[in-house]
Amino acid sequence: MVMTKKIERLERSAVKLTITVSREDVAKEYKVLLADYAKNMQIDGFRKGKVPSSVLERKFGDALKIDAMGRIMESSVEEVVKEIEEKPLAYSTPSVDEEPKFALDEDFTFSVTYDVFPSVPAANWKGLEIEIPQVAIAAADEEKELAEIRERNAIVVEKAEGSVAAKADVATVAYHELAEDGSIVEGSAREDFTFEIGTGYNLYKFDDEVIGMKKGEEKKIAKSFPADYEYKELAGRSLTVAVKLSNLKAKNLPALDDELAQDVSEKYKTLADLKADLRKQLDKRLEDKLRQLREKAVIDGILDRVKVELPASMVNAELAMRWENLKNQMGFDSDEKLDRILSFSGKTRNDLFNDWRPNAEKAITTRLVLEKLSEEGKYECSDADLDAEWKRMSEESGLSIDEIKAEYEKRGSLEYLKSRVKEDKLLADILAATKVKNGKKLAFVDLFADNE
Amino acid sequence: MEYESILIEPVLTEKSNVMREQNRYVFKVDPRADKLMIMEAVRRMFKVHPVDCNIINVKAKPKRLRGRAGKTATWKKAIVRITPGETISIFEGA
Repeated sequence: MVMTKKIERLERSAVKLTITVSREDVAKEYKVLLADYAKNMQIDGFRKGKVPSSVLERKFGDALKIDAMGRIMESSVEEVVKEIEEKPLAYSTPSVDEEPKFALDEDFTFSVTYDVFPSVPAANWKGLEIEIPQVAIAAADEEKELAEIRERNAIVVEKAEGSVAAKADVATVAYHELAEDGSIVEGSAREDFTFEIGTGYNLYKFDDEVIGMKKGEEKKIAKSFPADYEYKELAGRSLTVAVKLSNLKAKNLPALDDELAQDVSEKYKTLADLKADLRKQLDKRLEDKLRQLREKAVIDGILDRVKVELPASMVNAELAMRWENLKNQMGFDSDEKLDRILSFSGKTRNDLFNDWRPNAEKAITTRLVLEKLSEEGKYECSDADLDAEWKRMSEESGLSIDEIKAEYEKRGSLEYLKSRVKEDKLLADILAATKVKNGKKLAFVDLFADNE
Repeated sequence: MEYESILIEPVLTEKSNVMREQNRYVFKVDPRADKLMIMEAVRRMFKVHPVDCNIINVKAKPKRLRGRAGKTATWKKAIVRITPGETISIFEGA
């Protein structure tokens, strides 16, 4: 059907395809369409299928022509795309730029643009240099972890009548703001507000003032807040809060001994066991984090060396996917709801997409480049590799290999796992060829502080 | 009565389509018009030369809508024969 075709490369890996269809084919296609319609059309005064095409044409002439044009374009594009190398991406439907001229007795020429898979240059990953901070786990880090475990295993007990509030007690209070004439400020009252004294997890930060109060006692607290106070509506103001301590509980931290270790998990017999395992966990966390950093640095390094022109539709598809994910995460079923929530923070969907764009583009580029590299290097995921991966995961999660396998099969993400194994192998090779320099020294906590 | 308002609409049916091959064209016309007026109206509007004209007063048909009796409207049908070789374009395809 297609008489001539012309392919032009545009920017951002888009392609402009110009197709000419001969006038005979146009007429033929139109006739077929007309016959098709005449067969099924029902018009008053005619039995079904008995409408003469001349009547049809008179009645629906223009619409028929547009329909015929659409069909011709569709089938000819399909035909051409089958032959040529520049195939459109799945999420990029060929679009018509301008309304083409269509007449039954003329050759029909039209052009469509669509995005093709971007050409990814094979990146050179030899001789990369990256800088990774030096991190050592200090004794303080371990102690912090232990303190957290104690905190988690603390037992909260009611304090006896008449005892006074002390730091680290859990207080339940009712409070309200007082206006100057002693009346309650509307909307400021709270009942049964529970917080731990000393943590400052309350609006007015009256922790210090509450210390020393007895259960059931009421107190008027005058507070003035600095201009840079955490909560804006109170910054720079002075006011009086009436607080009533309605309940008081003490937090009993367990002693740091073997019993605590046994409480945490049955697999620990002694405190030393717990400590050793804690150390192991910390090591692992550090190692994972450092590996992450290394991979990130390596990928950044590679990305610096290649440039991929991403088609707009690819980025849009990624953005749309992120939008869907966000929607799912927040449990909304419609776009409008999420739009509304966004509007509360003064943003539109477009703003959000623009915020995401650099990140999304980088993610796609990373994926493309890594894919290309693993293709170039002929990385494969053999059964042995897969077995090793199963084993590793089973050790990590404590599940049996069969259980993990079943889970993956259920979710149908086996392919995903395979590609990940491939990628891991590739990254390992890249890392092996990369010079890792020691960066500045960093404390363990600081390493995780900038976690995004 | 104006000649322009005599012809109300062409009647497009399978039968009228067949009749067209015998140079006979079917119209819905103003019930007050007679054969001569209709022929004159056709002559003026389509610049053709009518030869003769038959008229049928289409009778109302009883219809029921939600159990209530009713009738369709009556109307006047005119079949105009024109000189062989002439055509009326509104019946032909575009």
